[in-house]
Amino acid sequence: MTDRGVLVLGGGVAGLAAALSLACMGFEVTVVERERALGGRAAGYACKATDRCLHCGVCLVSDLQDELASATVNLRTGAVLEELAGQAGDFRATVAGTVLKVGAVVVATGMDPAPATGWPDLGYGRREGVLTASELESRLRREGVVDARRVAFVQCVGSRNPAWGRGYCSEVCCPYALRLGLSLIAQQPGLEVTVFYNDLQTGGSDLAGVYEQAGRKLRLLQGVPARAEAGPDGIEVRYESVPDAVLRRESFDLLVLSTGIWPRADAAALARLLGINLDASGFYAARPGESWRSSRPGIYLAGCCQKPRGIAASVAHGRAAAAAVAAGRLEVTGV
Amino acid sequence: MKVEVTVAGAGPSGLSCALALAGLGRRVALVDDGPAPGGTLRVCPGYLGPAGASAQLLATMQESLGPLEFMAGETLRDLTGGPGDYRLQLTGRQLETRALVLATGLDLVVQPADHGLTPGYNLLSLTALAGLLASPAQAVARLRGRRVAFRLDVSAPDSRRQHAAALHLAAALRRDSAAEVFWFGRDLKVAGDGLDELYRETRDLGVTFFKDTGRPVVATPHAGGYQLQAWVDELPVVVPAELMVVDERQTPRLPVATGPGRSSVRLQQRSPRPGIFLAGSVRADLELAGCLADGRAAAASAEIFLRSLTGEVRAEVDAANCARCLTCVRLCAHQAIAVAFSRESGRDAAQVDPRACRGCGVCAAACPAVAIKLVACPDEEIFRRLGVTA
Amino acid sequence: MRLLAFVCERSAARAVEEARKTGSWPDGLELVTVPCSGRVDVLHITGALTRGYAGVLVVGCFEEACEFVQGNLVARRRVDYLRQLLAQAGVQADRVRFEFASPAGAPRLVRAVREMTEAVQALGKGERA
Repeated sequence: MTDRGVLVLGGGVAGLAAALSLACMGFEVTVVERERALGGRAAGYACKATDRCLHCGVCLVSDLQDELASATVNLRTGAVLEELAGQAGDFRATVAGTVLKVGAVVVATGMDPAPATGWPDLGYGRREGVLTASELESRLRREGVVDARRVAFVQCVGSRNPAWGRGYCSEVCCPYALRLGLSLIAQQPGLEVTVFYNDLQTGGSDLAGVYEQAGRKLRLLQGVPARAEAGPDGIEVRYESVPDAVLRRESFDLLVLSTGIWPRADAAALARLLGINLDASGFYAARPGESWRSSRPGIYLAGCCQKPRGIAASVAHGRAAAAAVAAGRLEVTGV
Repeated sequence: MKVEVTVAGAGPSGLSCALALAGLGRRVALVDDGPAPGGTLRVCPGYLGPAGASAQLLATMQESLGPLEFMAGETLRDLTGGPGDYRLQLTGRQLETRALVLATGLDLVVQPADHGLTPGYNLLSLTALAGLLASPAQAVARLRGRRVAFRLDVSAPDSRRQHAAALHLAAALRRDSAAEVFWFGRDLKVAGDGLDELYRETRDLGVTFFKDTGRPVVATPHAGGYQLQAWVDELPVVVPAELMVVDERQTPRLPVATGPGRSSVRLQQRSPRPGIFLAGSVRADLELAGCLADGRAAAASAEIFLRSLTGEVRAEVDAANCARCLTCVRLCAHQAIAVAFSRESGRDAAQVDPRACRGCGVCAAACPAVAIKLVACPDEEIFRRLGVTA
Repeated sequence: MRLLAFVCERSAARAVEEARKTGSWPDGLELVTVPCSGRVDVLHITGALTRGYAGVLVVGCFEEACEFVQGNLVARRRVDYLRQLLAQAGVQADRVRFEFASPAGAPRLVRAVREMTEAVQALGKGERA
């Protein structure tokens, strides 16, 4: 029955949350995931607990994976959507050569981290010890520790600058940098963590304790450095210290670029395939007041493909999209 | 009256939640202490975004309310019963409901004392300013061409919601009343839908931003208004203002207990108590778009709860052996255990409500009489794994 | 020498799974999976000790990450209490430990297990002190 079928594009946290909710509501759900494994980017991130949970939400990935084990969801990993025909309530989606009949599509294709190579002055790819936050995440997930004593985070790489076409705050980078910093210190006493920032985004009740701890345990410096070079004693960073407007130099062992959330490089191509619109920043455009609905009836949005979101917010948005799909379907069938 | 889900609070989160549940075919009661739905959208348009857009959003949402039962002027007084069968005492009536969503928002209270000031005619809270701007004639008379200072992060440090409100209000004030606007606060919160753009727009409109550095900004009464002193590059800057707009203390408005302790990130819109959900500002610091999505997510969770109510028994009490010591009652985070008369054993004993029990086994491990059996992971099984007999 | 770990199925059990996949999980630890670390009774631990296990580890979710709100903290309190009792009874308290873990923190759990194993090995085979 076409109408009970839903196609979810993307098996990251938002897609899985949407798929699982829909499955619980009695829909026939098919998840199409480009990669071989489910869980998306968040599945490679590390737990950021100190001696207590800092509410980073990474464990939600395994909660969803567990739920998946006992749910009825069709999984098509290593596959992509090739074609979409029809209309709301009666779509025909071609995936890996086979045609699926579905009533609705949930797009949960996620994001790309800002390409760190776009900031050559910060030395990414050219100096050892300069890495992106996602690289640090996966290193911590695998090894649990870093081989460094002085670690610095540079915030807003690829965010908050209309000149790059990214006139928005990526929302997740300040929280993850502070959490990573605190978690590193808790596991490796003696480590020093510095965070160079523009405006610390510490709003949100999940972060109340994090910010307070960060103020005590991390060095928070306002102002983002423009250059980092190989120096005699590690990576030398030049920055203007804000309260006294003095130019300073300082060396670090590890420079972490807190890269922001960008739309996926193939977002425009998929938007054409789906017949949906993009917004000014290149994310999938949502209807006003309904961030889970795309510009086209029957096609819904979940997670970071619509705007930057953290893990917990992406899961919530996936569920929101599921509720909207279910309500929409019932309207069509008049149940 | 009997419904499937009661949504308490008809602000953006509650409305969004109730609409989704009604769309799912559920019988929903939407309860609010105000006379009409809308919450902040209705009382304070302009607080959650441009006033026009808020009104538009509220109108659209109200249109789709349809057959949904709206109960005005009601507050939650008491909650009894259990998951799947809650009984709510409201101000004027009783409701039987299977699930409950609390979208009751925040209590906002202006605290001039936090700022070292006393209440005054020229000291406005963000909410009061939004109210004033909602009646243009009054607003123009009082605000046109005035010098207005916003002072944030004092009563509610780092509130994303209040920063978003202040940005919207500062932009409106500058644009519609040609007021001179100054902003004093900690790091600007721009994590939210369109907030960074709004910040740049506000700055381009001529609002001057001062950032709290190490030294605190001091506000003192001055010539019928106020004088604020901040530090820029280690030098003092004094800004006189005729009107001061301050942030408000915010506390989640939780009319009923949802369980012990702070809920974890894993629970999200669920509360520790099955069948009770939380949506919007009452559980997290969210701006408008976040509240709307949160309401929908809570609706999905509530719908899943309603579909999964099976009454499967996860913990069994051996009534004859129960010592009635209340250890299990005290430890249960889901309020699933109570001591009551047990027919089979003819005496009082602990009883587990299967709909509320989540099967963690904390009670079974703590029971000094070893009278509770966790069905999925009983003692015998654990001892068998150890090669021991109990 | 036999070592036992009670692992919460929502955190530690998954971390163990991940560590096994990457080959970093140390051998020689027997596991009992429980729905929540709060399920672990003092009697389970003492039962294991009297049966010949040289050390018992209880692993639960980090503080504030327990699906059941406070099962992990209840478990930690129980272990702390048992350690006091053991010390009074003349058994080395370090044979029993509580650790926090997360499904996304396999290396950290592996470190904790290694530490525990070394500590128990140093204590020997479970003769009374």
